[in-house]
Parts: sequence; C-alpha cells; structure tokens
Amino acid sequence: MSEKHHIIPVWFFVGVLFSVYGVLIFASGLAEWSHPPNTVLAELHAPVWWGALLIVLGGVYCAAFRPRRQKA
Amino acid sequence: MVARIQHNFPGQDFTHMWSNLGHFQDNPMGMHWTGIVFGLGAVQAMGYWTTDFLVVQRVLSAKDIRSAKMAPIIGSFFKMAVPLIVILPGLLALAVLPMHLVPASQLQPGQFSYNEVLPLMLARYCGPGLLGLGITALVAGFMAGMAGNVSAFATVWTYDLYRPFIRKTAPDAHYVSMGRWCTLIGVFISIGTAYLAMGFASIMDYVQALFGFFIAPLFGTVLLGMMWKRVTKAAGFWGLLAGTLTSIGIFSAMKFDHRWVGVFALSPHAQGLAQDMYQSLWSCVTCVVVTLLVTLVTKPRPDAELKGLVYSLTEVAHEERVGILQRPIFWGGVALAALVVLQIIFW
Repeated sequence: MSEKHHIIPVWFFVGVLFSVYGVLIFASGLAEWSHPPNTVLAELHAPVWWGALLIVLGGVYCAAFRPRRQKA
Repeated sequence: MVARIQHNFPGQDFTHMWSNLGHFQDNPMGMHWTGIVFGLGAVQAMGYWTTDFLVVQRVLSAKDIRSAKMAPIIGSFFKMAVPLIVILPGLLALAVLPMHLVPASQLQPGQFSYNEVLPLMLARYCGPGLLGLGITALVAGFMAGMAGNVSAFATVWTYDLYRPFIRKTAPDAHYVSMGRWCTLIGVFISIGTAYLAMGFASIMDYVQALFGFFIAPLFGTVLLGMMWKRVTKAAGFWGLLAGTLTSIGIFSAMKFDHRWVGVFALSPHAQGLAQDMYQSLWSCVTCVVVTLLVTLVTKPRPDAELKGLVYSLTEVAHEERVGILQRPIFWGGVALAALVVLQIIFW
C-alpha cells in the first residue's frame, strides 16, 4: 500500500487565523456595544465591522484552500 | 486633512514631493532636488534594486528569465504602495493628533517622536480588540522584515564566505548547523542595532545612512564591473573601499561638526535625510573615480576569464514567447506610467 503525503496549503491556516481573529474581535465589539471604550470615534463600533470582515475573509480562504482528498 | 496639517504646522509643506524642493529651507526634510534626483534616485534607489541582497536573492532564485525580470517589476508596485502604509498614517497623525511630534533625537519627557505615530494612532482609535489586531500586524511586519534580513545574513555568511573560504569540504549537516547559528546570532545583532537606531532622528534616517555606507559605493562597483570588461579586481576592491571610507568619513564629519554639512550637503540647512542623500552621492562618485583610476594603471584580465561575469561577454538568455499581459516590458511600462501619474498628483 503506497502512502501519500498531503500538504495542507499555508493559505488554509491564514484563513483559520483570520476567522479566529474575526470571531474574537467581533465578540469584543458586541460586548462593548453598550459601553464603548474611551477612544475617538468609538460610536462607529469599528470592532464589529472589522471582525465581520475578517470572518468573511477567513471563511473565503478556508473554503478555497481547504485540504482535499487527492484522487488515486 | 491638508487644511488641518497647514493649520497645525503653519508655513510647512508636508504634502508635496517636488514643488518645495527648490531650496533647503522650503520643506520639512531640509532637502534640495539635487539630493533627491542624484542621491536618492540615481544612487540609493538604483543601488537598492541592483545590489540589495533581499532583491537579488529573489531574482536569482527565479525559475526563468521572464520570472527574474518580473520579480523587481512586481516589487516596484508594492514599493509605490509603501507610502500608503508609511507616509499616510504620519500625515493623518499631523492632522489629528493633539500632541506635537518631534524627532526622536530631540525627545523630552512627556513628548512623542515621529517613530511612535502608529502606536499613538492605534491607541487613539482602537479599543481593546482592534488594538490587539493592530499590534499583531505591527509585530508581524517587523518580524517579516527581520526574518528576510536575518536569513539573507545566514545565507551570505554560510554560502558565500564560510563555505568557499573557511571550510570547503564538510557534510551538509555542518552547513545547516552553521546557518542555524547564524540565524540566532543575526537576531541578537538585530536587537543590538535597534539601540544604534535610537541615536538618529528617525528610523528612515538611520536606514538611509546605512545605505550610504554600503549600498551606494557597492552600486558603483557593480555597475562598472558588469558593464566595462576593462575593470580589474584591484580596481573594484580599492574603489569599494574608498567609497565606503568616504561615506563613513562624510557621515562622521557632519555629525561631529555641523560646518561640514554646508560643504558636503551643499547647505547648512540640510537636515538628516538630505545629509544621507549627499553622503551616498559622494561615496558613489568616489568609488567610480577610484575604480576608473586604478583600472587604468592595472593589467586587464583576458576576455576568456570574464565570460559570464561581464555583460558584453555574456550570452543573455532570451524570453519565451508569451502574450502581452505576461511580458515584463508591458508591466514595466505600467509601473513607469503609474510612477509618472503619482509624481504629477503629488507634485
């Protein structure tokens, strides 16, 4: 039985990283929604938008570069 | 933004590239157009693109001649985008930050330097979550730059110096081990040089001064050595040595006695970056002149020994026929057009 080495693309890990960051930042944005931090333009809730953007980007990378089973 | 900068810094023009370069006093850099055109453009920039190991390493490892030509062209697009990351946050900071930024060398307690723009902007606009992302991005940027330079340092030492000159025959494991030790030592040297950079007005000033020491004279040597088959080994060595010593001498003279700034940088009003540009220019000129003079009094090598080393005696590989969108000449033209448009917009 031959054994094949499958290389997982580095972009898949980039997607996972983006997704994890996105979820954390999105959650922090929601948590501080009612009492925003003492920063300039805090009322725009930037963490929510950035978190959502990172989740979408991470999802696209994860889907496009997910490890696939190679056909024999 | 421009109106707010002019309000915060009356009489200073931070948003034009060329229109205020007529006199040293007319711009915040204390620069003259001759320094930009001849020092930065003709010596430092061309030297960077032809002799910097990070650039050359990528070109040499290309799979074919077309890829080798495309590497610096693709790099040029990213280089043109660098001001968006490096200069735009600085300009925004001049417009919106309530504190008055100063050069690092003039820092007093309670003040902030230009080098701290990005952390200050992050702290001003980003709450806990985004602040973490911003700091991560900054650290990743530093690590990427340092990793490239440290790996270049390990490669140059192990392959170009240690293997040919110190230990010619050793198992591969030995050279791998040497490369790893070099990487570790390179990291410590990098940390040490950070303390050197603290003595300069800005990190850019420090980088340009180093370019003046090493890249500017090397450019003269590489250019003459590649283009003129008459140049000899001794001429290359003495030209490079004279150029480097000239650069270090000019740098030291201008640091220790400000009167020399008026001599070498053409005006006593020239500031740090302007001094770096003229330092590069004079070191390259010295290198070229010394190389020419030594060449004329030394014996040239026969053509047979120079094949593959000098442009006129080297058979240049031809590109395969590809579509217009894959040709380096097309993308080189696009890069040039983008450069011209940017010059006009920010004139």
